[in-house]
Amino acid sequence: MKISLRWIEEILGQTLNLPIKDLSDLLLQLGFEVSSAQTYRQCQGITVAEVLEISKHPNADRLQIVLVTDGQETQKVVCGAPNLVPGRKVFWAKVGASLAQGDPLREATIRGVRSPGMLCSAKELGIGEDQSGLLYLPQETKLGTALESLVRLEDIILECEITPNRPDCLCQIGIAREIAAKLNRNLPEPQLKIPDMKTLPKYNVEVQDPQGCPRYSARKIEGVRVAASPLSLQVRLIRCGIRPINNIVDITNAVLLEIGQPLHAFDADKLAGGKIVVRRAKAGEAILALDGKTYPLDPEILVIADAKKPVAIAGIMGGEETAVTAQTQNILLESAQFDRRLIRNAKKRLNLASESSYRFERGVSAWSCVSGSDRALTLILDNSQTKITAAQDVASSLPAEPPVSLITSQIEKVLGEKISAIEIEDQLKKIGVPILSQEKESLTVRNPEWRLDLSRMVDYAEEIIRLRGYETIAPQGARIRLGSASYSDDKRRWKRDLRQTLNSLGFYEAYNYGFVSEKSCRDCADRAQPVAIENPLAEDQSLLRPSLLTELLKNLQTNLSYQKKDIRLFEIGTTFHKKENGLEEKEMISAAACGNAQLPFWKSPEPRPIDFFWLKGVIERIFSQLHVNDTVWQPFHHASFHPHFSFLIEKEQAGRKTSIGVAGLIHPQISKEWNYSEPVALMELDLAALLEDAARQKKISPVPRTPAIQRDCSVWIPETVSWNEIFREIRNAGGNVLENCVVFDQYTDSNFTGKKSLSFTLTFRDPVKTLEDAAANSLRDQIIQRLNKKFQAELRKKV
Amino acid sequence: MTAHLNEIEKNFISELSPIASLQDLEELRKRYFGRKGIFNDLLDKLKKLSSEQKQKEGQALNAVKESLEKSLQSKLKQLEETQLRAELEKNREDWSLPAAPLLIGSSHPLTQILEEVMETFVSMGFSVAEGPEIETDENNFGALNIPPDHPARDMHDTFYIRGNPQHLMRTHTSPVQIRVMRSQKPPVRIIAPGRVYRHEAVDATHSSVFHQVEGLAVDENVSFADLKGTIALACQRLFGKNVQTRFRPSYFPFVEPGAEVDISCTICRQSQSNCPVCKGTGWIEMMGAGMVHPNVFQAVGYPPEITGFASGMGIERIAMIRYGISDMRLFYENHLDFLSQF
Repeated sequence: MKISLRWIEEILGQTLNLPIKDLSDLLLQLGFEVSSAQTYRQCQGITVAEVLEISKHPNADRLQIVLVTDGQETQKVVCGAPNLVPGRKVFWAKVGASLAQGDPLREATIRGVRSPGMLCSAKELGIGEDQSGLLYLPQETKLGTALESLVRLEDIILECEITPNRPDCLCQIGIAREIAAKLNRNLPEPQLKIPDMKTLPKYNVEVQDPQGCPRYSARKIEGVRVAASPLSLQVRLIRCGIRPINNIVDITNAVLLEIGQPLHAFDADKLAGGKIVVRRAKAGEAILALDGKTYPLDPEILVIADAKKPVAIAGIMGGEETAVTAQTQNILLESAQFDRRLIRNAKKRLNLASESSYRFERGVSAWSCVSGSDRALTLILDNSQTKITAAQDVASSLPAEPPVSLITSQIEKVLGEKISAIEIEDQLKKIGVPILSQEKESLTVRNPEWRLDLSRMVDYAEEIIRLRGYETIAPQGARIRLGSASYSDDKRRWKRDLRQTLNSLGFYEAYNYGFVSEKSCRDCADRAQPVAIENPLAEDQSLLRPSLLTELLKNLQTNLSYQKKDIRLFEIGTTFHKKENGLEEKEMISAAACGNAQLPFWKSPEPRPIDFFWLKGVIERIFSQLHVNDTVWQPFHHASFHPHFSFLIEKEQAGRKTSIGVAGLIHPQISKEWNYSEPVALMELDLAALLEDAARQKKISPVPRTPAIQRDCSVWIPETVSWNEIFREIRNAGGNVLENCVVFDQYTDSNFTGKKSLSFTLTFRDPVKTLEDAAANSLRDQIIQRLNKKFQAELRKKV
Repeated sequence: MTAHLNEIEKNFISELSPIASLQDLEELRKRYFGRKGIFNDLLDKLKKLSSEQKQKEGQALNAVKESLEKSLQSKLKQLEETQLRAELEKNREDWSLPAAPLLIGSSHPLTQILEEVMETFVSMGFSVAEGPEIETDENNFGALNIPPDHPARDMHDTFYIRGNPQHLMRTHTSPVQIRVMRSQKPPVRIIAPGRVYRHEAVDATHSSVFHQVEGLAVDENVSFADLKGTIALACQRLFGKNVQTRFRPSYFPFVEPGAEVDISCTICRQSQSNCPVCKGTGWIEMMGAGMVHPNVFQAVGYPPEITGFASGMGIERIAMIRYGISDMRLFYENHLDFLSQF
């Protein structure tokens, strides 16, 4: 919303004498943010002149030499405007003139031709952005008139942000009222000259939808002369963002800007049957609107119709066919109130917004409806030839806002500051709140007619501190009883620990948008049904991610394309799935990695790339941190995953299986497509399943004080027997004294087909006494015998 | 024999002094003190003498032997020291070569800010609450005093779920307020961190996804003064103890009175008229806040005598100011060159 400081001062009847910064601060304290301010200065040394003769510039095709006169002086001026017409009146800025910007004008020689001054477009005068041609003046303007006597150009235009609850401030008067209240100044009543309308014939208005249109005022005015508006009005409109059309339309727009009431003027002679019907549009009806486009209408849309058809889309835009034109002699002036939701809905259905709809959907008051009509009438009737010939006011009796009782103790409860009834009255009076009654500890008030946002005690509480200043409330501590901790508090800590663990393993945390394409989803996720978005921003963002891996893999590729080699990323985020009875959200922790397990170093041997066992290490580290035990790894078959190194991980507890997630390597075929040949490791774990036992207390063992004994063994064992099976037997045979068993070598030999050699170190320790060598040897033999019995394993002979 | 001993001593010393290697020294040792060495030989000869002579000659022999062994040990020590010095010298490396690379990642900058904000509020007695990202129209709008066709919805354009017209991606974390209040009686003191959505094309300053932390405190006597005190302290903890907060009127449908909270510019400290962050105003817009609207309490079934405050801030915004980042997309592109700076 653009605010003209000069207009505000005109309404207040006094100058404010405030620097822009102070004014902006003042408005900010009232709740209106000023996003920009533009200062315009008065142009000087410019007079009205007439174009006498146009001749070609000898050295430039686009330039002309114009003979102009201001009645006293005749000169040849170089001009580049494309719209030169002999006989028209223009502004001639003479040498020494000051324009909207820059230094005083000097005599210039343009392409070899001397030019004493220049002819002005709107832009050079700071009126608008239009520099496509010269600004022409009405023909009756007297030659030699100084610009200053026609129009005052100096002003400050502030762009103000008005929150949706304050439609009353979508106009100059609204802001003037606020400033007056904050500065303790008086706001004079608008000057109106309204003829007596009681004796006038009634104009035929039929409101068929009184809910959609609670108030409709029609004024028929005859004998108007349609012409261009005076320059001062045009300047005002342009600076506030509205294009001047003609004097009638400009007046309605000026009232919209001044009082906030959207008005419409019809060509009264084009209204069929001389009547107005406010009704819902009929299916199949359409209207050619003022923007030159035809809009199909339907019964959800309120229209203003004449006896035959819609002539305006109520509250949004008038129709082209009944518009005021140069030929118009009689007009019908509309001032109405429409239902906010109806207008907003119609705006969305038609995808058509206007200055009118912007105000109607936020709310237009009965006050502005009446004052707007009166103000426009005053301006139009300013001419002796025009007269009002018919009028009508249709108003359904709207329930007025009930009085609100303000009890000081209740206000203190909300604000935390005691404010006396006397001060409350003082503050509220400043913004025109009628005080119905006042007692020692309470008062009864009603909203001012123009305020649609005051209906409860808290609304007035805000007004009181808004006018006092929010800074006048002294801060206090929150006097609240303590609540109880939540699961989310614990979860937050576990997530933080998990992040730290992954960070220490070299993973950076990633954040992705979470919108994926159907194709990438097929490539990567599990079998769950993804959730589709009705209105995606783009085709390849049409699904909510069913898995975090899709985007993490993309992140890997991006980083590879940026010549990164060792990439480890993880993300904690929500995934979405369709389920039989609705939608499901699951928080996952997922990771993707490629590159070296250890970074290249000048002292180390050849670096080794990450592989499945590295990933397994990462996962086991997480599991042990969160007490996830007894996991079962089942082979996972998916086109995107490695056929042998991919697993579904489940947890088995008391006969109940819970899925934890998937882990493995990407199928080499996939990474080959991105020209990458090293392993890519992936994991996606369900955070809720992972955290199920996180709260379990750790059991801490004392430090063993007895020495441990180690024995190395190497065995030949059938290739098909897995370490899981072997380890289980070793553990069973070793019993409690077997503290640890670490594999340190595995190989195969073509002389021993079907077998593999496994070497491992057994660590034995008795917690209470020192273990004898003989006892350790016998335990080792026991283990070997067990492996021999179970798997026909044999001790490897020493070479 | 004594004369002979003198000669041996003389020879040994003359042989010992030029020795420069441990190997030569060992040979010398063997020759004199080895099993078949000169001294063993002398001892054998000694055995053949009479006991009287044996005692006399033996004492002389031992004295010489001990003295020579001492010289040998001292030479050995000297040579070993020389050798160690030589080895150290030989294995000398350029210490300025690069250190061993340790691969250690870090939390995302948004996580770091989120954690800081949560830590701040948790230390003030707030508890963490979470809610789903797909919400109902009622929780995201209706219960928050934003009825259908309310102009405030213009600022909350969002994504809708195909096949579930009543479900949408939440546009703020405020629906968590509704969920918590519907399931819990006052007092309530929660913060709701999380991901929120807006139907906006992504560019340097707009994002279809961003993060918020919402605060809510409800009890029988919570006032606007409490809101001011709580937020002022939280801002000091988050942005430094000299940070000023400024409350000014604003509008959010679910609070009344409503406020916008600014903090004094942490970049120019209110000293530069061309500061790119505060634009010379000296203040940075930080969050929205206010007293919970009676309609919200009504929607969740709280009694009318209850009061409370709510506040909400954007995490990306704080991170951008803190780190001087001007393009929001950087947070979501996951370039290692970006992430490794945090």
